[in-house]
Amino acid sequence: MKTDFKTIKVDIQGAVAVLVMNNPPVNQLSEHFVLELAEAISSGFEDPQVKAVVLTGTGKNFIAGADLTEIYKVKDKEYLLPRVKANSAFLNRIEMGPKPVIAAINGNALGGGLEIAMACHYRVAAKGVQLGQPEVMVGLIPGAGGTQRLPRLIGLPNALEMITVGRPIDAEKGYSRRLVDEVADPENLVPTAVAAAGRFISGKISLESKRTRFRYNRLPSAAELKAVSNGAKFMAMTKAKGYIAPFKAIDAIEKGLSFDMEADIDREAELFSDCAVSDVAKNLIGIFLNTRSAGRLPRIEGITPAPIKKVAMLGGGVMGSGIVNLLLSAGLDTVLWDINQEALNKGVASVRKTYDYPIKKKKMTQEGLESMLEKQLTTTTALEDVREVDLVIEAVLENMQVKQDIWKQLETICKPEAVFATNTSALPITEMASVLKDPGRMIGLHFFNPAHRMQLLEVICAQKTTDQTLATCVAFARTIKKIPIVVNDAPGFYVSRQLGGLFGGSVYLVADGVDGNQIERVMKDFGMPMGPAELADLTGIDINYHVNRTFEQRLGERYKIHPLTEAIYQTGCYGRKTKAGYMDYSGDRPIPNKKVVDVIQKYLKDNGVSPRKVSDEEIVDAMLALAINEAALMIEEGVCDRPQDMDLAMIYGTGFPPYRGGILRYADKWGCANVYKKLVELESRYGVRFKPSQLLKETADSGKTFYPQ
Amino acid sequence: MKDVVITGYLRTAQSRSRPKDPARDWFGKMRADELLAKLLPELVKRQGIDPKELDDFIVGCATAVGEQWAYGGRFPIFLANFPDTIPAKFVDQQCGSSMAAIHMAYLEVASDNADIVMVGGMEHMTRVPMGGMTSDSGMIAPNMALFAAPEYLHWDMMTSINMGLTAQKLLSQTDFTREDMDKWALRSHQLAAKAQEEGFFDGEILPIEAPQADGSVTTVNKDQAVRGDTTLEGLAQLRSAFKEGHQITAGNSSPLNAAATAMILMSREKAKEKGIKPLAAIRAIGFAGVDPTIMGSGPVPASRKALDKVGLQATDVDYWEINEAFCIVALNCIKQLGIDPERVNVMGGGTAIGHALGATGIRLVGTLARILNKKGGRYGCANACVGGGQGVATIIERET
Repeated sequence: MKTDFKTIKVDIQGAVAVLVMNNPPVNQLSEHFVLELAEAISSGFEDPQVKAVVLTGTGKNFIAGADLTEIYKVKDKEYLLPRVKANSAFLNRIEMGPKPVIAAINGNALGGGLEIAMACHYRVAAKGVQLGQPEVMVGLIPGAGGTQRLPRLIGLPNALEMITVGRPIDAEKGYSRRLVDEVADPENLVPTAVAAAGRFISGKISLESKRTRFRYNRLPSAAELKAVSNGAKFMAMTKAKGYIAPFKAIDAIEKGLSFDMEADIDREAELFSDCAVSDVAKNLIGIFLNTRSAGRLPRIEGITPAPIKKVAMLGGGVMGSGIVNLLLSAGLDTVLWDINQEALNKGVASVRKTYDYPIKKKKMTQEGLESMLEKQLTTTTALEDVREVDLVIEAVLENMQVKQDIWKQLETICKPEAVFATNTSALPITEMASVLKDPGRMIGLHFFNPAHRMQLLEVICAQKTTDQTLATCVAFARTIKKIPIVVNDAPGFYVSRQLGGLFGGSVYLVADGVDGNQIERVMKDFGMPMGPAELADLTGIDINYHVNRTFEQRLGERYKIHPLTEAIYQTGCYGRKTKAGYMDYSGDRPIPNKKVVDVIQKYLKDNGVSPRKVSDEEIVDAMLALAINEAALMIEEGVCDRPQDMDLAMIYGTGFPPYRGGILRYADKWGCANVYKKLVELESRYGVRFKPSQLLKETADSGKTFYPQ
Repeated sequence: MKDVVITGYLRTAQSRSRPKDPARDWFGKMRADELLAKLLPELVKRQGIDPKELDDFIVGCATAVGEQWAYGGRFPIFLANFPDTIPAKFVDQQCGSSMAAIHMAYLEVASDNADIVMVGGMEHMTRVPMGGMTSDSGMIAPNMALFAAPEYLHWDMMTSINMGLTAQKLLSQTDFTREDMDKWALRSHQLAAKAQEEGFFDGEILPIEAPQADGSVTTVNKDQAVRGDTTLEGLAQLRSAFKEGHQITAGNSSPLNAAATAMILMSREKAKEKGIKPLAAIRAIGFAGVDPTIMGSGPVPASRKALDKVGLQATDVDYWEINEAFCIVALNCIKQLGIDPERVNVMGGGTAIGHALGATGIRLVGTLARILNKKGGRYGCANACVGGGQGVATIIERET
């Protein structure tokens, strides 16, 4: 058979052709690779000496799925559909081929990778590898028979879950669900697959019985299919509102699973193509691709990050203990410092608590935790004990003087190349760094609460932060599995100020007679996890007030606190922590807080404002216009300059709906000229807070977009 | 002992199952429990009884794995939305399963432990295939020692588990020929086709609206495997179904089928109290074990046992329903018991009507009761061979 392929190594073992796929970095199904793979398999089918084919990969992946950059570019369904069908036809040829094809799944088989494995006649998976159909996460559905083959192998309910939720399963679970026929140690994988091939060749396993399409016995009856699909749709409506793919996947399954798999796969191809050209898919694929490149700024290109092996955490409070969890989980030696033994004990107890969940879920054992703490964590009340560390992260009292005192001491203790990072959420880092002889070593690492769960890490460059410090911290963020978004030092950095911009319009609308409950509902319908009032009650109305006060003081007239905000603050109802904020939490269920309602009513009455009916669209427009303007202002001020990173920060930091792509992606879709027009209208009604930024005006005038077109 | 009567019987048609080509099975998109659940409410309605009055529900099924696992018989009750107060049991006596359900119900009522018992049978041989396909998918896993260990080799499990081979072995122990079997098969199809034409089966088949592979819905109201146009020449041309050189063919064996059956048994007093005219009374039951390699001989001792219980000779029985799992089973039983062939399977047998394993027992007894009522005989005996080497039989008496 033909052996000279660029991406496939052919290893003939007796009557078995072992095809080793090697398309770096992750064996992605790029067009060229698929063509070679098809040719190699056909060549094996045609060679009379070859009686069976084993398909395996190199590295950590069997096949990591389709090349999303290719799908991202496609705008035309008519262009895409024949290609999707051709790919499915390739898989059909494997499944219906004259010789057995055994998938030796050496690494992760995701998306198109699992679909190829399912078209094979036998699957041997290496222990621990991940198997999944995660397409919904990027707005797609399985497009090469996955919606039809997976239910045939693992049954409808399990298949629906894997396809609509997108979460992969490991090889062991795959074996128990009969997705794979055998699990083998990685070193025995190919021999096990070759042995299975031998059983096909000797007739012990019948090829006919192993063609996945003919596995009818796990297919549901018509009544079951209808009932289970309806259940899945209901679930998707509550959990995947705003998304398209889960519904299309359910559609492919509900209308498929017939005895005519070719027709069902054709329908799947149609539905896949519908998804692929949708805005939602573009947004989600964009997020996926941008997440991989987050933090890769041109200014740090080529700089080798300093190795971080030992880290000091100053302060074991809520944030500190979450951060210690991250450090330990990443295998880093950690020194936890606090002011006294009592605080330290509390801190360690908090760190332990962060592992409750993984222990409960059996992802880790109590013994494992104890051993990790023993090996990696030391505690101290003496700052001198942090002298060996490569990085210090500080999360002590939010007081400039206290922080500066500590940093000054540390500069005399730590080695000169150690990086100093503050987790402050509000204090100016440039000012904090000014007490250091080498302010270039200081940076902000703004973790989000709970630190060990939230994926975002806002990396804040102070005025003199060096590129080396930044490069080290971006790499460190990846080590602790965070998505680093780099911004410059400014009040509220990026995320807090942007969230203020997104929700800041609500007080103007309420003061204008719009029903606050409608705003809450509309923002949730838009896809935010909660509305402005609910969020304020959670984070604290007083905290928000002080943040706004800082903006007012440092950013000027535009950010002047609204009189209604002032009046609500003066009620002393600060949210959940005081049992009353916008809502009253003293009873079983939250009800509107009469005090706040009265304050609003009084404000409206005093200002002669009557209740005003507005459409949901008007609310979204007003809220988003202000948010977009805030983003533009921050670009203008140099706080940040990468739209893709800004959007990611809101998605990972505040729960901005991923399917909308982010605030600036939304702006581009809406059209900057429309945003500008809306802001002009809002400015005339509500004043300077809504005044369009210069950048937005220029963007609107030039017909440009925030993202490169 | 209380006198036990059969008051109601209903079945679905038997579709022709094709595990490898499910689109051609009229019931390909329905499960066996769904078929059964269609029968239950209709049968109680026709009987004019409240489901709450059912003291027990006993389901027979031969391959009680995969989707035919029925939670001890409760799933069909749930699917029929019957009251949760009805207890249930699940019986597997292979092809005798639903006759075993009748036997259990008979004993419960006769011993005054129940007044009214509903029995059911179900099997879908497309969706839960026999043998290799069920085994490949891990749904059945016989103990391999039975096939390999020296102390078990005398069971000859390779033959015992393959019904076609057992039928061939039975054939080899008789004087019957391939032609005898084919002729019996032809007779079966012709009689069944005639009965179909005359509408005999309409009295026992509940039409089912069945979704089809192409998305359409078909009313399934007749047995799919009956072929009135079958010819002896056609049958003679069929190749061995199980092993080359053997005489057992698809033509002289029962097809694969999907169906459900249901029956209501009650004490005579209860029937009287409710003003229900019984179809027949159960006079005796019989069950026997035989060499598993010739499981087709099972009906002979099982029938003898039942006959002995009521002091009857085979010749006293007016009509017989002998399950034609294979034609040789009926032929052997006829010869061994000295039965008049013209009294056997007069509306056609399993070769034509079908043999949805777990559903068959009720089909045999129910159809027999209807034959007695139509033709006017007094006694009837229904029997069946059972995989693994058994036979089951039931003797009924027509109500006059």
